[in-house]
Amino acid sequence: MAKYILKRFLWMIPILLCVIIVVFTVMYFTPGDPAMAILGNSYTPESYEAKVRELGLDKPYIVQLGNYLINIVTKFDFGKSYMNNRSVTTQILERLQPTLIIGAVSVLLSQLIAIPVGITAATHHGKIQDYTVSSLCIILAAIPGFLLAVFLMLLFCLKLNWLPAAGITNWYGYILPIVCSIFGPLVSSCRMTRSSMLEVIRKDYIRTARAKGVSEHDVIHKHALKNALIPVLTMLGMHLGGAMGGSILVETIFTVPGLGILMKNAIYNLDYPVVEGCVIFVSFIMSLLMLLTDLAYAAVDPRVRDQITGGGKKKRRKKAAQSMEGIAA
Amino acid sequence: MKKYLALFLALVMVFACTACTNTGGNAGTTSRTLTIGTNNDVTIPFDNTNATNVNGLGLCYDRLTYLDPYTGERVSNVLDDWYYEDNLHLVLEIKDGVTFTDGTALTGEDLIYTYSDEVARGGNNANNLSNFDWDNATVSADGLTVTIPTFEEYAPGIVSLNSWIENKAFDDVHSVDDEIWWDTVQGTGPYYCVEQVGGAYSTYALRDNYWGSEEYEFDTITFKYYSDLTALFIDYENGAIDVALNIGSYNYEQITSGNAKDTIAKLEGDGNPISLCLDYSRVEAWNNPLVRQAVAYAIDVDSLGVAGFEGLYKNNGSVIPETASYYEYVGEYEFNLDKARALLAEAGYADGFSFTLLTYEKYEDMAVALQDMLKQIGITVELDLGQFMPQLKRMLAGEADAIFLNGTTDNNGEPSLAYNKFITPTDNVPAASVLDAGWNALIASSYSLDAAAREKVVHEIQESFYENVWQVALLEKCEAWCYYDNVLSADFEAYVGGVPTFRVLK
Repeated sequence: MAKYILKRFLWMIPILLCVIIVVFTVMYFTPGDPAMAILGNSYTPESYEAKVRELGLDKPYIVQLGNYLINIVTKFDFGKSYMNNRSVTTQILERLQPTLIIGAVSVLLSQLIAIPVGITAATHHGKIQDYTVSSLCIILAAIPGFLLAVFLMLLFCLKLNWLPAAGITNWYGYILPIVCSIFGPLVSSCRMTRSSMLEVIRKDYIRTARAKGVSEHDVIHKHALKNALIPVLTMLGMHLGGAMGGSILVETIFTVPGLGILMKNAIYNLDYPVVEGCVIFVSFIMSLLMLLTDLAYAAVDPRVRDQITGGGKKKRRKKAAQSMEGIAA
Repeated sequence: MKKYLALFLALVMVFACTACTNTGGNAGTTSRTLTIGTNNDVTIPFDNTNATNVNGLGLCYDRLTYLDPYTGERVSNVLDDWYYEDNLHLVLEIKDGVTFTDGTALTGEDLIYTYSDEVARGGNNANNLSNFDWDNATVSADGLTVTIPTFEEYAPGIVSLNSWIENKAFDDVHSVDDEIWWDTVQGTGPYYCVEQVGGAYSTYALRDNYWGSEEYEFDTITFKYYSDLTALFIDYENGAIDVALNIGSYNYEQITSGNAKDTIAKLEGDGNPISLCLDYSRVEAWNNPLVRQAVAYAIDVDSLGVAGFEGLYKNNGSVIPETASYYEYVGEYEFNLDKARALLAEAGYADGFSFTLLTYEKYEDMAVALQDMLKQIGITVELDLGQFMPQLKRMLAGEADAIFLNGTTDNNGEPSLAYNKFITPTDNVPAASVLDAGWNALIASSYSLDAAAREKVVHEIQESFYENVWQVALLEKCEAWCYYDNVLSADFEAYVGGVPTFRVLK
């Protein structure tokens, strides 16, 4: 297992290098001039030339890319923001906490709700519980996120005055962003759990377990759920990865100073170092989460675990060798 | 399943019992804490390159002089006096005892450093500051008197010395890249930065070691950033904030029509009056003053303001902003289509003519409205719209028959920054160039004069601009803001030189 994890970490290096090169190249060729964006109305040809030199934008593409790669590899330095001259790394680390909290809590809560509800819908297939869950999922999927956010804001902030409309100066401020962020993962995980469970509970081994007299609770939670969880785990990894990048919509509406709004403002202001830094950081997090997802598969499915560790083949060979020795003896 | 439901309901009930109040806010009380909400990001480093930042800098730094918003006179927090010793030497007398945030004393060395550094950096005001001979500026033995030679008689004068005053000793130790600038102020103002959370808020407190004798109303002032105007106004209505620096036109109309209790709403010009600028060399008609007057009379500025800025605008009656030194309200053009048609006919353009208006997406609605207005007097306007940067390059390359141009002073107060755009040869925008020798001579004469004489000439410049319609002065975009009148006094003026200071004195 340790070898596998190490191998995956080593694979991350070329992947991230590719991401860096692709992101840098895309930003380089994106229309727009950051020097002019910074100068705005105070543009003069002289100030423009000075600003271009200051930002290093007068150098050829390959030189800029080389300098950027060297800085990242040797100093983990993503450069400085064109807009406020602060270190990109510092800004990302500052903005990380709110995004992590909202992302992690919303995904966790969504799974805590979605999995039991999905199981209920699957085990009561064709009944009122199933129809209710399916209908609710469709309704929640159809409502645009920004509409939901504004509705919640008007209800809980304006009418009831229970919660702040923006900012996260205390834990109250996290509630509405988390609630808005829950619905997306909740709907998809619920539906995936339901369909996956429906597929699994029709298998022969489930019928066998019931025939053996195993309780319905154990049939569902010990035998069916583990097998049904694998596609749900895949979705969980994707939801977590998306959440770590920050929700631009939620962070903008509720003024959460997270990664999403940092990226949005950087794109709007043509602040290339910040955009590049954020994308690379999110790619790194996604790679880590994909690794964790694969390890979760191994925890749930022994076949995957054996494949990863190679333990299955070795054990079988050892057993075969022992039995041959026994026969020979 | 039932267990989960019961747990969920219990959580909701606990929350409902505890979440009865919102955060912060002290509307309805005369508290010593002021919370201000704004749509502009309030969190930026305090380094000396932030020449035009608003909000916190106005609390923590002083400019050398500024226009008193109540009297319109030029005053100073840090100088006892300023005068010209002779035509070529400006003398500044610094108040004794002025200190920076870290307690070090303000001396003439700091002033020389502040302005010469801006020249070296190529800051917004570098051109005007280059008229002073910083290399030969001297400081008296006690550090409180600075004598600055100028290359021209009087030069642009005291109004040019308008940057935030910097602490030389601190700047010598900390480069502009130093992270210390994120939340460390080194100003002579009464407040300092307590905390700054990127993209969220910044909080300032009164200095214990403040050198001034004024008493300020608020011990703590917090600027809270809102990326969404809806959330900003909701928090204002809930009392979470006392002042809303940016509100939309709908909320502004609600307040001014009496639908918001205890609230005062105000409009504040953004310091960028917009003119319709006409390239005399590309369109023959622009050289005829009757044609320019006809265009001025054909434009309904109110409709333009509604189209372009949702009604948040004002006609400030001059080519330079109200926040500039020597501003004078010279007049507005009457909206009169019959008069416009008569003037055009008199000029020999009874059948009208056509030109192309080159502008960018920010002014699209205004451009379309202008197109409709001029169509009514027979002038056909072709619109050449595009993204800001490519269009700006084209404007600077002289590819426009007409453009919308901002006459800004960058919150500096130096009027020439605005009217210098309308001279020939121009180093800025060809479409704004006025091809009249008398006009250019008038502008040139505004330099090398003492303050009283300069004021007279700048008034003449504004009057000439209006009477001759050298370019068509239109309107100025405004920010609408509001506050609870039981927190701040009803006639409170927050803005000094276009920068909100919120230094409310008792």
